[in-house]
Amino acid sequence: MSTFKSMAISSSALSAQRLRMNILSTNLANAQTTRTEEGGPYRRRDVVFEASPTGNQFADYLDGTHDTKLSKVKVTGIHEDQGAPRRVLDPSHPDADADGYVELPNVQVMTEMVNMIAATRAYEANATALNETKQMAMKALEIGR
Amino acid sequence: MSSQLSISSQAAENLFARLRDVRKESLAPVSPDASQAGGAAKPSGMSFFDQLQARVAEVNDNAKVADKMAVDVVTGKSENLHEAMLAASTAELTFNLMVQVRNRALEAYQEVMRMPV
Repeated sequence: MSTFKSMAISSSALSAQRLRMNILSTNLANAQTTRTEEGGPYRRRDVVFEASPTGNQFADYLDGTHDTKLSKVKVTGIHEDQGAPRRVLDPSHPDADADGYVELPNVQVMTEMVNMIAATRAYEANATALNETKQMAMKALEIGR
Repeated sequence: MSSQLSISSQAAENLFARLRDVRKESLAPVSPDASQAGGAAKPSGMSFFDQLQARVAEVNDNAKVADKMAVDVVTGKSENLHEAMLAASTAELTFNLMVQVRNRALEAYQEVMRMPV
């Protein structure tokens, strides 16, 4: 039923934005981290979204209800920002190099905050879309009452 | 080689179209035989009340799923808060639809009962 399909699409967007929010929180939490498992300072991460076809299940093909024009969104990857780390002079820091410089993550707190606002607004927009779909179905049930 | 194994999307589409036709034929109600035209031809397939019963069971399943997801969220088994809310919405919608169908069926019955003989 396409009402529920539309809701599933909105739901996939909510999941994607929530994952994006998790990544942004990771960036903010590690804005000062100088040690990572791979060595060196933490590198800023970001998500890559991809449109993925909805209703590509075998049963949908059999029913003829698959629609290539509808697509959900999914997170295909989390990539690391390869920008250069910030170098700050702090000779007393245990991770300082021979010249007394410490490499700090390439995380810009302002940018992360702005991205966070964008993620929140996108989540709200998709939640609204979901509610509107539900409202439409409820209105349809009032026909002829 | 691989050219023999690969199947073009056009061919796949044709295959699915054929499968669809076969399925439609198998689901279609069997038309009463011409030789028995005089007899009481019993309609095949599910009756209205069988259908209704199956849908009611589906509505019940939706409610159960929504219930389980809500329990999973509050007990910390799942983090999919929005999916739990979505399941609750789906259950509510399908329940409302069922109630509307029931109202219409009841109205029709009462209309018949009011018919002066």
